[in-house]
Amino acid sequence: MQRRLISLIINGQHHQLAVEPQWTLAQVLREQLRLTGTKIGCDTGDCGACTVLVNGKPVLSCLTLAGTVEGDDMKTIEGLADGRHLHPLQESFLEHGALQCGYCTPGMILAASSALDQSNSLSAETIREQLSGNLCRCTGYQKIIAATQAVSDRNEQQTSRSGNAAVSATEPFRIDGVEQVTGTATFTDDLMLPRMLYGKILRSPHPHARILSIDTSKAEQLTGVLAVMTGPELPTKHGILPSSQDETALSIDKVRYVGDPVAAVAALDELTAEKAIQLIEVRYELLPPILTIEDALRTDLPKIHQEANYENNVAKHVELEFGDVAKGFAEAEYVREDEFFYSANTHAMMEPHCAVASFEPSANKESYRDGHLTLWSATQTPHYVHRTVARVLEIPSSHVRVIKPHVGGGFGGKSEPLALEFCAAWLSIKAGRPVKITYTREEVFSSHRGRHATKMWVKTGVKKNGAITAIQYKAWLEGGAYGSYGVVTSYYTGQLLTMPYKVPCYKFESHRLYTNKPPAGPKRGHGAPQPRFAFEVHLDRIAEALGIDPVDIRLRNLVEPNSLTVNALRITSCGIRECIGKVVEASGWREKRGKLPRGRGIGIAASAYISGAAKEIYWLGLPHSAGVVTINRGGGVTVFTGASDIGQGSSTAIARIVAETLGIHIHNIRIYEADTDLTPVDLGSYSSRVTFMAGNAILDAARVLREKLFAAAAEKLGAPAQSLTAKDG
Amino acid sequence: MANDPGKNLLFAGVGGQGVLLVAELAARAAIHAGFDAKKTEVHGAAQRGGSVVSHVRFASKVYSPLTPAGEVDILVALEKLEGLRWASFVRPSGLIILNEEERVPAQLTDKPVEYPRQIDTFLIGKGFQTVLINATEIATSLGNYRAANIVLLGAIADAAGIPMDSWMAVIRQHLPPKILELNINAFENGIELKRRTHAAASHLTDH
Repeated sequence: MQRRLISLIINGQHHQLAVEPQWTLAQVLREQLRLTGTKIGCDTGDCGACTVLVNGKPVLSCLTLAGTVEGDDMKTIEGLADGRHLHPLQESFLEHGALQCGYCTPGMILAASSALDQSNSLSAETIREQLSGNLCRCTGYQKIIAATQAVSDRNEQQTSRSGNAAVSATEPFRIDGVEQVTGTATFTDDLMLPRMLYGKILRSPHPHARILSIDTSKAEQLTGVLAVMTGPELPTKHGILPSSQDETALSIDKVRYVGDPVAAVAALDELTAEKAIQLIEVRYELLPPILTIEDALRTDLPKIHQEANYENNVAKHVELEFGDVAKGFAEAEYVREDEFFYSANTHAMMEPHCAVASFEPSANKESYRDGHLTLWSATQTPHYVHRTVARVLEIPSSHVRVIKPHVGGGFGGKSEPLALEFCAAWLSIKAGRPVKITYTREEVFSSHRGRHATKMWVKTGVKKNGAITAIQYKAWLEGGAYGSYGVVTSYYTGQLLTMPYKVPCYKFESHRLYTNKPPAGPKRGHGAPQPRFAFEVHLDRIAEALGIDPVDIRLRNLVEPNSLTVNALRITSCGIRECIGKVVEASGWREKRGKLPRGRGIGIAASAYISGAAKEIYWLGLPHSAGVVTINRGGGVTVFTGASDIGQGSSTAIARIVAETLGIHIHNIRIYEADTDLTPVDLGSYSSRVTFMAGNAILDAARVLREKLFAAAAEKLGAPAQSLTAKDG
Repeated sequence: MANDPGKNLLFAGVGGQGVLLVAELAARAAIHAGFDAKKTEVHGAAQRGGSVVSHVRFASKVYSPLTPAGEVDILVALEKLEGLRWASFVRPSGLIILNEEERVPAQLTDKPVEYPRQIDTFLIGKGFQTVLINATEIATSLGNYRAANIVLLGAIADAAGIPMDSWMAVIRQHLPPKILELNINAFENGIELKRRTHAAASHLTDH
């Protein structure tokens, strides 16, 4: 399309740019000017991550055409700080811990700064209203409001009393905090490699269909298209679990949900790639879709996976009994049964999935397999991406390097390799150039792997005083089109139900079902929230029937520290009794329960979750986590950890562990994380395992280093090593 | 309702126009009439130039609230540019009810830009049945410009295929008594206006 020369004033600097009429301001800022602090979360004006200031007002740059802001005074996050001196809001966000993954942070800070520029005195209500167009998935907003409020209060004091507003944060809340608040943190989509192409994936419009033919010839002929791929090129089946190898990089003979990937292209720019996938002609034969749990259990309907073990669309059946359940129910003085349904939901992390692949070929003309692939991916699990991509692309894993840049939240949705990683890598091999694929928000939703919709039945026997004598539980999990982590979910839904309570005997049965919907997988508390919801409501109903306060029935049944549950989960330290005590006191439970006006209520539920799994997914004999702590030539400490900081702050936690163990300031520690060439193995950021497992690995390493330091120092000082302490370093 | 394909509706406008209310009423009217209905909406960015949109689908069985692009039967645009923005979702020869309301997008309010002309002609040229209604003016004449959304709802009442008693039942059930009469008036005006427009269009076609 014809380009037009325009002048933009951004952060006080004048730029002359030739732009196409349809280019958005966000596109021009990020791709032409490399001001990548402006983020794209949805590209449809819903999330606020792309907020910039135009003449002082917050504007969604993804909805603004670049040509319409010619001559306006614009500010992006890169222009907020004064040189190396942060803006008071940036300092306040750091002080208050008002950020986690950092993806919404630039937009949030700019929206807040605009509000502060309009008024020196903002109420919390006004701040909420002003920030209402900016979504945050991690923080829960309270700290963001507090951070903005603090600057407003300080401004007000300055106006009335000319007070001093000096701010200093000596102990950083996050080691990457300054990068997050200044927009310099590099996320995968911020990477722009020389000669890089843009990839797009064609997806199925049908929930269940056989692929009769795919004609890519028109797409291949389109000017600007450098590579096209279809399913048969990468036929190796994969799946995150050894027992769920039921996916291919792209669909080969069948599509199983609306959004199932079918073909992919790489082109010089996104628009050409988009046009190219629309030129691919796919002929389908429609098959009846299976869309409900009930239909998935029927044996007279087509199977979604022909090779699956069961005669209907059951993907996994689990049945386990612990203790004598019949006896437990016989001893009960009250037995209750209830049914529940928990809807599916998705992770909605702010950063869409993105992968950038760069393949360096070897001189061997016969095979690409001697070449080296570098893959940057917004993933929670570089280790699994590394091994799966190598296997599917049939490249030695020693020739594959996976690097995880900053990640804008995962919540379980980035826990396994997805089509974009395979496609970016294969298209890069085919085109001989780097390829980036960023999912649209719609693709993020259809790739899903979110919480399983679950139908549940639960039966509990109790004594008159509320003491549980037995529980029986059944669950039907709607798994969608592929296996994902579903086998794990099938166990977790039953195994984790008992955790907060003493249950003398327990029996559960679960079915995970294939349906023609986006695949379900792990999402925050993988498998646990569904039974938790069901059981806690069920327990309240029991309490009500017996005339017992809901708090008291929970206190009567709570697990004790250093105990085993009936299904052999090890409870170590456990403060749930103290926790409930404090909640009851702080909430005014005893005064409020049953006494609030109509429409108001107060409730309680208890929950618990595991710290990772004791058994790894692949039994390779590798440690679950490892860490390397070294003293570098400058006298500082360099840490190599495989743990993936996905915004939850694991790198900061690791730095703090090292700082405390070695008695040095956190500023003297540099962390290198989640790079499969450089850092030791870590299974990934999921299942609440990182601080526990990677943290303990790093603690071990730091202690070994401290012993060596003490031994060396003891020799020099002529003092016993046991008498030494490390501090103020 | 067995195997009734129902309708796919799309309501679009800008913040404060009452898009979500009319979508809610349409979904409830469909349920009242015995259909299965699903609804979803996006309304995050209205203050900053984004649109408010709500999908409503009803049929004997509905699995997803989202209508794919090109499959909407009726688009109700409470603002003309929003009609243009969402027209790609409407099926060939589908119905677009366009409110004669022009709001310059927030990011362009202080710019010397001209609001696009002849949006209705453009949409007719694309093959859509396009009906332009000055709902804001009608609502104002009835007592409150804010009832324009209900005028437009009235304008789709016949085309949606939901019985009139279901529409009236949900309007009575969901609107506060203070503004009920005004809104029933607005709804009935919308029905009449669309019927008259339809008759006029048929008359033209006859020639």
